[in-house]
Amino acid sequence: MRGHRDLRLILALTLVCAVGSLITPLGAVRVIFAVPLALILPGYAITAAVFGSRLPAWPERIPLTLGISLACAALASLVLNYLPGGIHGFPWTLLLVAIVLLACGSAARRRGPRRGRQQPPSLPSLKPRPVTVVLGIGTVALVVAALILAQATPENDHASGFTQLWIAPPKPADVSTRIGITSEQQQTRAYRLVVKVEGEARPEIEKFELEPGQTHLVKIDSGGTGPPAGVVAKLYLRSDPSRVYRRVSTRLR
Amino acid sequence: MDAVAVRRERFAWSRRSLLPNRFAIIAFAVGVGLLLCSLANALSRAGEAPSPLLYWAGILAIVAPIFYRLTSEEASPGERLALVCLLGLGLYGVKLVRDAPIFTFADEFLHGYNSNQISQHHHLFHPNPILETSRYYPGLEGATSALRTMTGLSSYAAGAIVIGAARLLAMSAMFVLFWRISDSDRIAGIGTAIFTANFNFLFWSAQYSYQSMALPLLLLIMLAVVEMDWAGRAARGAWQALAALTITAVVITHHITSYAVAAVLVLLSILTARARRAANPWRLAVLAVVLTTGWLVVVASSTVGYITPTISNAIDSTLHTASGEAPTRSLFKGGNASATIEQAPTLARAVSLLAVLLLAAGLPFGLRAVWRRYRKQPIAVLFGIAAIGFFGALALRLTPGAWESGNRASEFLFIGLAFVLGCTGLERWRPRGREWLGRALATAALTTILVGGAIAGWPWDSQLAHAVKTYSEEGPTISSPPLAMAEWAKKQDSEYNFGAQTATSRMLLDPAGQKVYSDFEANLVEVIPATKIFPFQKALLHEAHIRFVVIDRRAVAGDGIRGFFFSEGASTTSGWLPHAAVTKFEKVPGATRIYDSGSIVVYSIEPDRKGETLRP
Repeated sequence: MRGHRDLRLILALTLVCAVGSLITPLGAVRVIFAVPLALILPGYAITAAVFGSRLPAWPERIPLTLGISLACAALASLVLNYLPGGIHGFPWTLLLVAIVLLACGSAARRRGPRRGRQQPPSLPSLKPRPVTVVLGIGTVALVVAALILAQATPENDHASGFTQLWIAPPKPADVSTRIGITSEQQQTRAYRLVVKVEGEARPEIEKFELEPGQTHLVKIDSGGTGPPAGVVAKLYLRSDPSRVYRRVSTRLR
Repeated sequence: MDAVAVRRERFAWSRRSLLPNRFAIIAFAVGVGLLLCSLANALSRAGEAPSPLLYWAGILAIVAPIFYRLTSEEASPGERLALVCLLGLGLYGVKLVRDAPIFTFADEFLHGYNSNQISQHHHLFHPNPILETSRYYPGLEGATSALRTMTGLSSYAAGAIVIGAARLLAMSAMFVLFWRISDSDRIAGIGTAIFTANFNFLFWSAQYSYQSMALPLLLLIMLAVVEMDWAGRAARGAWQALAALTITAVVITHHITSYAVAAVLVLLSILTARARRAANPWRLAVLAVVLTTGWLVVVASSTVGYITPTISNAIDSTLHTASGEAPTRSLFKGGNASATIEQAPTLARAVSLLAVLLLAAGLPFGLRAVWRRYRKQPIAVLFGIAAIGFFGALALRLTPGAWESGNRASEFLFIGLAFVLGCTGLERWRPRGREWLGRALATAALTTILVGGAIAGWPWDSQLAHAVKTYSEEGPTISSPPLAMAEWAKKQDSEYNFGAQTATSRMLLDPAGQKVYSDFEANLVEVIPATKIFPFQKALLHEAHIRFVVIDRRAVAGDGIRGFFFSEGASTTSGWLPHAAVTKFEKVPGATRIYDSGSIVVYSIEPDRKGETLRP
């Protein structure tokens, strides 16, 4: 590898990225290491291995690096799929490191020892002016602001709110069930829940209020001694007490 | 050096340091444009109905400075390459700031589900109940799994990074491809910029879907084929090897793109043989045909059943429309739009039609230039054929059953059209000898075709985001009806299958992660909206092991573009399914109503016990 500065750099970056992606506790920070490891380094290394000393000019190297990395990631997942253990983070890291190591080794062998100035053409050097740096920082700030704004959940007063009434799906052996009311309303609402169990003389009635996003749970028990009993739960808005607002039903043993 | 010279040198240095380079200014404009688009989307999610001008001003801020610079003579190849990459990423950013940020495009839920299955089970090829074919093309989800398993990112975040890389690949590969063919970085820059004006570029091909990754790989294969000829004998083998690797990746990533790769390589082999050029890609063509066929026969045979009806429907529909038996399709609506959907305003439609007219007007000039300068290059001839074919695909958009096929084909054909139009020499036009005026007019034309393409490619009322989650008036967040139902379903036993219409079914896949059938499976497309249920339909539900039937009464329930969001204002119940469409399940023995949110109701149907026959 001596004399091949680009290959040494690729190897060093690969090792840093591999270790970084394995030991960094925060997933968001691991992205900084995992993205180059998966989407840049294998493509460059494979390209270098295949071309040997005739590495193409840098405009070609950009699509090759990205494209071969993507192709390699797609095909490598197929390889991992058939290895014991399947697709996990650690085997992915090992496989990507192995690909880069093998490809860099092959590239170094194919290039041969460094002679004179037979280095592959390098990327153009960047020497930005101060004002360019300021604009660059401004651009990054604008993009970050745009993405943060896109992530933000806004308040939309026009969105039509609603309330969910649900009952646990029936199972043959169930003698009890849970009924839930979740408010997805814009404001706090008052409700009346009427639960009628077949065979029981009096319905169970509950009155409660729910803030937006809040859930109220009710447990219904049939006792399990008699024949299967139907359960019907009706939800009323206390502002409109005569109209059934929501209705669910199930059967208990 | 004397004092004057020193002062001059210092002045020159200070002037240079005060003047930013043009690329930095353009990148800043892109940032401003992205922020404007994000602001427009945020206001739209907040129900504030922002002026469309805000959004389109953002798009213009992103594209116009880049187009203007690309038409200049003095920009270096490196700057042009950086500009087209910036253009691709800037427009991809427009899609990202429209997201919630969760998947909101119909195909994204399908691939998000596949990706989640890989993360959950650590293997590929898990069944996808809605798009069974997608499980056999796991390239995109496989590549995404590298990021997901190493970082713990969600399918949305990891997918956004992978598609961003694919977008960068597409722009850089296309630029170098056009550059090598034309030997002009100016034509390459303009041609690549024109490609961003294809109808699907802004949204459809930026979504987390297998074609979004496969198409850029196709461009890399084309570049390799051109380089095999251009780079000379020494590097031919290397390019061939990398093309072979990329072909293999495409074959496992997307069916239609793999057929396109095979077709392109076969045509290029024929054209190369006719032109008697040395670097014939016939070996790659054979490889592509063998791998595509082999994968189709051995692994993904269900693709035939998936694609055949689409193609036969397209042919039938085209014939019916052409013979006058069926009406033409309304343009500018998109999706399963009902009559109540707002149409694009007249000005927007005019811009869109003007864009098509500009494309058509440039075609003869471009074809003439290609014929004169590049007819000895097989790939340039192929691009000429594709450019003409694009207008044939455009006609398919007028046919109800064929518009989707036409839409898919148009993106592939647009690669050729972009190159041909890049060769027209519009940028060299100097009205009254003024270079800047010619460049300004060329920029205006490019901007018009991009904006027109974006309008034609995605419904006007859905260009901006709508809310799937919002803060309530009192503070806590609330979810849209389909998302709230999906959140409820996520907590349920996943032993049984769901059956639902388009919008709810997609959200049941991701984020709920439930096994759900939709559309034509178990005749759900007819069972759910009908006011009666017949015994054979009940039998179909049992056969598919569908335990939970989701009835979404909203008019947008079957709409894969508009169905995921909150309803707003007074029109919430207009166009809803009749009450009987819900209550028909009350008559099914053993059926219980287990979820009711007003617009969405879920029935649990008793599993069919062995030996038990269904009563009518």
